[in-house]
Amino acid sequence: MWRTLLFISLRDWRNHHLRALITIIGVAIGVSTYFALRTVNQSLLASLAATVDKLAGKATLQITAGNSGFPDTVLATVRATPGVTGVTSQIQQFCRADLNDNAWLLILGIDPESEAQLRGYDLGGMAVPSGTPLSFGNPLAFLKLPNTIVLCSAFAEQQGLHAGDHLPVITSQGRVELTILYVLRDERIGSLYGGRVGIMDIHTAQKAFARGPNIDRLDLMTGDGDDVETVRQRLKERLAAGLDIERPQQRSQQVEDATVMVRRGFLMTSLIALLISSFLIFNAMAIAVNQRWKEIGILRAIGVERRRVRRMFLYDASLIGLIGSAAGVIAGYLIALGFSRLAGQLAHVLSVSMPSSLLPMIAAPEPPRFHAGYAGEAIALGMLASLISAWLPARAAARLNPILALHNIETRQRERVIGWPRLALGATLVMAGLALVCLTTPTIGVILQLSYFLLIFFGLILMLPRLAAWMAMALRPLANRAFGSEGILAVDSIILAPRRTSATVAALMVGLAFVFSLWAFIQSEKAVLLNSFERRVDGDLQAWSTSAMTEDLAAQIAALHGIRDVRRSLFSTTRYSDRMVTLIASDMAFWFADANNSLVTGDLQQARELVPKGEGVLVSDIFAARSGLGVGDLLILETPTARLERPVLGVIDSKATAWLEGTVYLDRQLYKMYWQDSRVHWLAIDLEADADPTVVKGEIERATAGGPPLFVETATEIKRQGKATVASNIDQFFRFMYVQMFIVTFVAVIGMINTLVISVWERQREIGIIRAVGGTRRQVRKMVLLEAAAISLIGLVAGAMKGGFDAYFMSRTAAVIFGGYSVPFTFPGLLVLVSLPVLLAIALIAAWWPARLAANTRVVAVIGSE
Amino acid sequence: MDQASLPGSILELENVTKEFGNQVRALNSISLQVKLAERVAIMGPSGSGKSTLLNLSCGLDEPTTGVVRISGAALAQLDDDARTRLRREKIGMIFQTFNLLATLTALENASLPLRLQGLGWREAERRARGMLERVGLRERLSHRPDELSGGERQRVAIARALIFAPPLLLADEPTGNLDSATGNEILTLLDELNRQLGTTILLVTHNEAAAAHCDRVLTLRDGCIVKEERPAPIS
Repeated sequence: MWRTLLFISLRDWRNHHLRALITIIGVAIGVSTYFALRTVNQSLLASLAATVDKLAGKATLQITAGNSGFPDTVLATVRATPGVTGVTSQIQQFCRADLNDNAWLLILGIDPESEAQLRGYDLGGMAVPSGTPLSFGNPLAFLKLPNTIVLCSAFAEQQGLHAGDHLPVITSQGRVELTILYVLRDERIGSLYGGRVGIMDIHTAQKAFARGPNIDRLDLMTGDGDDVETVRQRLKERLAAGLDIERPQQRSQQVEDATVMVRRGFLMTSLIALLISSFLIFNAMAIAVNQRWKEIGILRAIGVERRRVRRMFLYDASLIGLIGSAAGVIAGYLIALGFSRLAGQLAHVLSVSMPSSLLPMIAAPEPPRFHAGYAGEAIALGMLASLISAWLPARAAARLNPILALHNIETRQRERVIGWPRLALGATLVMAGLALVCLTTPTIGVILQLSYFLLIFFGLILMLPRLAAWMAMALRPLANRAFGSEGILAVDSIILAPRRTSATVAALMVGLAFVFSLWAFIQSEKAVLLNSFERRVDGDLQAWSTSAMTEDLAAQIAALHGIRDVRRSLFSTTRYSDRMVTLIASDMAFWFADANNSLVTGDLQQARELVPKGEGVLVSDIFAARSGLGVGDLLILETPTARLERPVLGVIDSKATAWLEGTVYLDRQLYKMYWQDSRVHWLAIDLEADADPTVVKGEIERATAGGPPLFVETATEIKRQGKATVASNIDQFFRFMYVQMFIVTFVAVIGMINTLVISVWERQREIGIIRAVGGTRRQVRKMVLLEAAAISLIGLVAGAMKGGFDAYFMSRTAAVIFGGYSVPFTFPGLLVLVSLPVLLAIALIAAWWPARLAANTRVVAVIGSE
Repeated sequence: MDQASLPGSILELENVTKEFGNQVRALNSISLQVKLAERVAIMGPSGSGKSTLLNLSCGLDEPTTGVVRISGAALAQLDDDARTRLRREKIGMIFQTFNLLATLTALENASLPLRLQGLGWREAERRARGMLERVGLRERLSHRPDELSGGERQRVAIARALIFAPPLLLADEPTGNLDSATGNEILTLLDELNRQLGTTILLVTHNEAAAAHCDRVLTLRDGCIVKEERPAPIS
C-alpha cells in the first residue's frame, strides 16, 4: 500500500509543485549551511594538520613546553636516549622587519647541522635533500655566518628583496641588519604564516631575541627498528614532566583542541540553521495537510487506516528531506568553495583561540574537499529534521475527522489557538528555565546548564501560537486605522491561523534571538573586559618592545633619575590539566606595592609577604572558576625543569588578560628558576612623587636609543590606546560570531520568503473569494504585503523576547561554561530598534513576489475547482 | 458473527441513537435491516439525520447508543483500523460531491481501492479499465476530475465504489449535483450494477424519482423513521 500512498503524494507534488519546491529549498538551506560549515571546518583543520606533517619531515617525535620553551640542555639527554637516531632544535619568534610597512616576520631558528638530517630545502633552485651533510656543499652551512637569514620567496617578493640584500629587523638587541643568503622557494615553509617566514641559525636567533639557552621545539628521529612509543616512554622517564613529548600527529590533535570553541560555534550556527529549516518544513507540511484535507477524508473513507495516512505524510517528508538534503549538500559544497576564498581570514580567526606555541602552524588553508561522510551525515540530519518537523502535521492528518474532511472547504474547523494548558505549561517552562539560570551555581554541570536554555526554548515554542495571536490582536486597531480593510484582513489572517503564523514567527524568533543574544553577550563581554583592563593598568609609565627585552635593559631603565621602581613582567603559557593557561611572571613585591592592586579573595597581608618570596602564587578569577582551585589549594604545574607546587594565596580579577583559560601570577624569580627564561616583555614603571611622566618618558627613550625600539606610554595614554586595542581584539575574536549572525539572519529571511509564498498559495481560494466579491488586485497585493510586515513585527517582538532570555542565559550561565566568569546582563535594545526598519524592509521585499502571485490569482479557477 | 444478527442481512441498525453534544439528537433509536442485494432509499428533509445514518453505517462515525452491524460484525466491537479495513473490503461509497482525488486520472481514481487492497498496479488498472468501460468512460481514462463533466465524475466515483465488487454500496445524494438526464443515467447504471453484481444499495436522496428506483423507501424526520414504502417497480 505504501507505494500507492507515495504515488498519491507524488501526484500532489505535481499539482502543488511550488509548495514542494519551496519545502525542498527549506531543507536545502539548512543542510547546505550545515554541510558548508562542516566542510570549511574540516578543510581548515586538515590543512593545519597537513602543515604539522609537512613541518615534521622525518621527525617521529616532537618535544615542546608552551610559550616559554625549555633549556637546550635537554638536547643532550635526548641524544643520549636509546632509540633516538637524530634530533634537531628550533625556536619560533615573531619580530618586526624595519621596512616601510613594519611587516611582521616569523623567524624559525634552526640548527643547520642537525636540521639537514631531518628535512630538505629548496634554496632558490638549489635543492638540498634531507640527509645532506652540513659540508661546504650544503648551502644551509652558510647560516652559521653571523647575522644571516634565508627568506621565503613570498615575503622577499612582497618586499622586493633578493639574495645579498640586507633586511633590517627589530630584535631584543635593537635594530639588526641581516644579510639575505638565499630566497627560499619551499612549499613546506612557504605555506606557514602566509610565507612571511625567515630562517636563521638557532644560536644567532637565541641571542637576537634574548632567548638565552631556551629552545621551543625538538624534532626527533627514531631508528627504523625502534618502536616510537617505547622511545617516547624512555624520554618521559628521563625528562621533566613539563615537557610535552608527542608524535607530530598528536600536535595536529592539539591544533584541533585549540580550535574547539570556534568549531563548536560553527556547529551551533549550522544546527540553528537546521532548526530554522525545521520550522519551515513544519509550516510547509502543516499547509500540505490543509491543502490535502479532502484527499485525506477520501482516503479514510475508502479504507486507509490512520497510521497509513500518517505514514503517507512521513514518506512525503522523507522524500522531500532526501531531495532537499541532496540539493543542500551540493549547494553547501559550492558555498564551501566560495568560503575558501575567505579562508585566510578564517585561519586567522581560528588562530585567536590557539596558544601561541601553535601559531606558526597556521597555514593557508587548502580548497575544501568533498567529504562523503559529512554528506551522509548532512543528508541524514536533513531527513531527520524533515521527519521530526513533519511528525505533528502527519499526526494531525491521521487524526482528521473524515466526515468533516469530506465536506467542502467552508466547513473546515477554524484553527484553534493552542489551549490554556499548553500556554500555562510553556510559561512554566520559561519561568523554570529563567529561575534555574538565576539560582543555580556554575559548577552544577554543563549538560544541566544547557537544559535551562532548552526549557526556555520549548516553553516559548509552546506559547508562541497564542502570543502571536495576541500580538496580532494588539496590532488590529493600528492596522485598521492606518490601512483600513486591507490592514484588518492581513492581521485577521494571522489571528485566524496562529499555527501557520507561529511557524514563521518561530523561524524568525530563533534567528533573531540568536543574533540579539550574541550581540548582547559580545557587548557585555566588551564592557567587562575594558573595565577590567582599565583597572589593571598600573604604574605611571609602561614600556614594551616588539621583541622581548633583556634584564640588563630593564636595569638600565630602573637606574634613571625620577624612577622609583620598575616591575618586570613576562607573559607565557603553560599546560594545566590539559589546558594551556597564561603565566604572568612579575616582580610581585612591586605589584603588591601598588595600592590599585588587590585581591578578590585571599589574605592580602599573607599574599604580600609570601608571593614575592616565591612561596605562593595568585590566580585569576577565570582560572579559579575553570580549575576549581581556590585560596589555600595547592597548584601543581609541570615545568620544563621540575614539578612546581605552590599554594594559591589569592584570587585576582584579571579578565583582560588570557581570558579564555585564566592566568597564574607568580614571582619572576620563581619563574626563572623553573623555566630558565629571563626575558622581559613589559615594564610597569613607578615614578618619584615629583617626577614628570613626560620628561621621564623622554629620558627613557634617549637612554635606550641604541637598543631595541621601546614603546613608552603614560598610564593615561595606555588606557586610551589599550582600550582600543582590547576592543579591537575582542571584535576580532568575535568576528566568526558576526559571520554566524549573518548566516542565521540570511537563513531566517529566506525562510520568511518561503513561508509567505506557501501561505499565499494555501490561501488562493480565500484570495479568490476576496477578488470575487470586489477586492482589487492592488488591495490583495497590499493585504499580503501588510501581512508580511505584521509577521515580521511579531517575529521581531518574539525574537527580542527570546533574545533577552538567551542573553540572560549567556551572561549568567554560558559565559561561565565557556569563559569561566559571568558578565552583566545587557538587553540588546538598540539592536532591536535598529532591526525594526531593516526587518520591515526585508519583509516587504520578501513579500513582493508572493503579493504579485496573490494579486494575479485566477478567480474562477481557484473558487470553482474541486 | 454476532449472535443478534439476522440471516440474510448485510446491514443492521438496532436502536441506534446519535447525539452531537447535549443539544442535538440526529438519530433517535433507529432500527433497520437491509438484506443482501436489496436497494433501500432514505429520504427526508435537510437535518433529518440521513447523512448521519450513512456515516454510522460505514463506521466513519460511532453511535451514542445502539448497535450497527455489517455482515454480522458489530462495528462498536472493532477498533478504528478494523472498521477501516471493513470499509476497504466490504463497502463502496458514492458522494454527492464525487470526492475524487483531484491529482489522479479517472483510471487511477477507479483503481485506487484495488491498489489499497494490495493488488498489483497492472491488474488493478486492467480491472479499472473494464469498470470504466462499463460505466461508459472508455474515452476518458486518462482525464483528471477537473477535465470531466459532473456526470462523468460521478461515473468515475461509481466505478471506484464498485471496482472491488463490495457487497454494500452507500450512496449519499449521488444525483444531487447532476442535471435530471444525467441523474437518470446514473440511477439506471446503479440498477444495472445491482442486477449484475447483486450489490446492496443504501441510497440517501432528496429526490423521489431516485428513490423510486429502490425496493424500499424509508422517510426520516427528526431522527426517526416515520414512513416505510415499497414503490412499484420501474418498468
